[in-house]
Amino acid sequence: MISFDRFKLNNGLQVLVHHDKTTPMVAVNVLYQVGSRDEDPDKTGFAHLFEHLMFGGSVNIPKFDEPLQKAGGQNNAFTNSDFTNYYITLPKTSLETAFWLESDRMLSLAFSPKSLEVQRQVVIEEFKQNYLNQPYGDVYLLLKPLVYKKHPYRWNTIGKDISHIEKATMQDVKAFYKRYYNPNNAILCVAGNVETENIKQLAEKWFGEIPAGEEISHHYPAEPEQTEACSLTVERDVPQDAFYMAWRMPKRTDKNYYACDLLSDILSNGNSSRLFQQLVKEKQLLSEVNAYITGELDGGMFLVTGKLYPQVTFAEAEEAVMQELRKMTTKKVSEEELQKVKNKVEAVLVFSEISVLGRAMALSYYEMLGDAEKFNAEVENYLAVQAEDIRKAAAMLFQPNKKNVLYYKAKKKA
Amino acid sequence: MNKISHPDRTKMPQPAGFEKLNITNPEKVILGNGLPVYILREENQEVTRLDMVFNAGTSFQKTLLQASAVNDLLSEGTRKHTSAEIAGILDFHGAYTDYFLTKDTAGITLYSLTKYYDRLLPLMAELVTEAIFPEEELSIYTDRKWQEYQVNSQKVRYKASRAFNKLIFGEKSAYGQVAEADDFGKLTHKDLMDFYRHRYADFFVILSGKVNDALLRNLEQVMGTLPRKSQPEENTANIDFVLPEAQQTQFIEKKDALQSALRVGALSISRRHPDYPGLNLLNTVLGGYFGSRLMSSIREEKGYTYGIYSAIQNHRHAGLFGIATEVNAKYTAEALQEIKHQMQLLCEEKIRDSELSTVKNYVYGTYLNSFDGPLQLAERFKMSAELEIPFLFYKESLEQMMQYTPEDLLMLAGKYLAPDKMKTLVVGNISAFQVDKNLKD
Repeated sequence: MISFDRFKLNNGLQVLVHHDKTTPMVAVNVLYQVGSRDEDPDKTGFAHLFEHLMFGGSVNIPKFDEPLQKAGGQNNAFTNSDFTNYYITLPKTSLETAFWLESDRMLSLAFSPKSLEVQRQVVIEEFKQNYLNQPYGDVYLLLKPLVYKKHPYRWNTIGKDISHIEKATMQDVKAFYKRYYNPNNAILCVAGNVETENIKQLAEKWFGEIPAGEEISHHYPAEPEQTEACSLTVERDVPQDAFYMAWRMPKRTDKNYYACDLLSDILSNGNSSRLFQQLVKEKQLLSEVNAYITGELDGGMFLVTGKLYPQVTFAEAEEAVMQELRKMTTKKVSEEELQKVKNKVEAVLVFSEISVLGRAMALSYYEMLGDAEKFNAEVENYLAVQAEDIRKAAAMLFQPNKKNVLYYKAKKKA
Repeated sequence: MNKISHPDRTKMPQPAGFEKLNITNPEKVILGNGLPVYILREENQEVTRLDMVFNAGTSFQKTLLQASAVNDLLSEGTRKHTSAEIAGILDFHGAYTDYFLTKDTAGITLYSLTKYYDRLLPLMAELVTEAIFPEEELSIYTDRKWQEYQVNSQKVRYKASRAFNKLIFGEKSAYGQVAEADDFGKLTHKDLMDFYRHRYADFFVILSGKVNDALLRNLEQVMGTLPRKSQPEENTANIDFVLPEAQQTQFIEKKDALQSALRVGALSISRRHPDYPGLNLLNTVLGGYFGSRLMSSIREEKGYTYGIYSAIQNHRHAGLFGIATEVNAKYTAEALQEIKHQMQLLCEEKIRDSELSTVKNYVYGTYLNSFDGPLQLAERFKMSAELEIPFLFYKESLEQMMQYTPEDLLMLAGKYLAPDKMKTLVVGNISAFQVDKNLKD
């Protein structure tokens, strides 16, 4: 159970406060409800580029990091398809510095041309480092447009094409900021040895004067029902053949989400899981296998991926995997196997709450889902799943005409 | 209506002093068989972490991969349970195990809800006393590891860190050894059993998080009755490292690489050396945090890279100071020059007071953060035991760091960070960019 207080400023900024007297550190988390799904199809990678620009100086503070480091603090941020999250941890005695910094970059950025030029280069290097200069690095760049045809999830957070980042103008950047970086599109959470009254005063003092922006409706082109299986084969200079199967998932707030998540755990969470035992240990067809979900708000992906041993064919490997998946659609898992994955989820949730930063992030995320209180109901949501729910989820997901596969072939050495 | 306030946004709010760093020694309990247990309690959460630590790091191995294979295969079969059964028990209780291995130590960390410890402790004891390393499991393991090695070998970063380790410590030394592709097939069941019998004979335990009486009674019953053999006295590790004068530069060709992996560094002083706190500050200034000189120059000014860091790796018998980055291939030579230039500046000019005070505050904050909470304290305590330093040494060392002046640091920079004392390694598209030629300029 995480307890918290909640209030809203007149400009629409939602504030959450969590009290923990055992730590000298405070976590300050700011979640902006803007991700790559909010991008124009011709200007992809913007939400993420923006995350970089948010450190390039704000209207009154030339450098974001310097004063924070002076205050003994650390920070970072991440961007995904649905939201952008900024976080700071610092000693409680420096708490007000975090309010000063976060409120100033919500008020206005400096928009220096130099910062745009440099961060553009940095993001291009990030693109190379993580997507191009790595074996299998471009998998998601290939897979997402295979799975999504209409919804903005069809491009990656880093961008569809690096040329979009190369061509970004200051005008684009300003427009993006004006639309999304507003108090009424943000959630602030403070966690640590703090009092709600004091946080109210600080929030009012630093964020209160920031004007609200236009209301944003989060509506996106709906993805049409998939009616035919899709596949793509590519050849790359990698040592092993690999496959990436993907099915579209229900929305994050759909009640079937929990059954799908547990289904992926049954298949591949831990060394006792079905795919690992069958394909890696028993049949020894694959050197690695994984089943996992991505939890995008409008419906993520259910993925099953594997790397093949040299003498194994794609057909053999795929048939062996599909055999396991078909079992899930016809036969209910035993109570013991179900209990196992539930115990695992419970442990993961408890461990995620250990640090104040973990709690601040979780509260902000669930507030975005509609209510921070939902975090406390999460264990119950998983515990309520029955064996039959998992079978039904498997039957719903693994339909032959809804399957997408990326075959990633190792180029044969001459 | 709330009245609109206009705070002064031009000045940083003054911090209300600094929180104190609280480090206290863990409670020590000796079990019936003499096994030492260190306890770091926190009763508010229902989780417990257990560490079992052995003097079984890679520096003690006689055959390459011996230490890592033993560590990785501890849970792949015992006299009582098969690999699948062990995985089943751990997974059923939602437990997470981490098999850790450094140059000096190795062991198991168990993370679990406290309520399952009665069922997990016997299994943990079994892994460290009754593992059998079945042939079939060893063969699956080496096949998988060989495949993983093939994939990793395509990454410039991976190739660079392995080659750099050899370059700094010397490949014949206990710290410099690195396995190659054909070593995977050579590993035998006997190699594993030998290392296990010798190096896993004795250990100590760290318990952190919720530690109640029931758990301690259980621990006494399960681990307090285990047979213990004292470790072989002789130190089998070869700690004759290469001389600083040996090979200075190494270039490894990786055709068509879009980025070059760079490493610049040298053998360095150990954690207990009196100059260490000062060197740690210098490292932070140079590349130890986001506002560092290297990050400001090579990422934020020039945009050559997504990130660049320097760090001091601490080991029991030596340290390694190193700078690591992956840069846009066409700026390889420029980035190397800039790295050397930044090191030269540290040796020639005093650090400005404001920069030094930022770095001191930053380091103070990271210490507060990394000693916050019992699970993190356990990690730190484990590290101090590995380096054979007293736990409270961290606190003293932080206090010392706060005392350094720009003059002290200028002197230390000349002693430890002179660019001509550094070794350089590049993995990338060398022939296309002629790094070698530019370097000699």
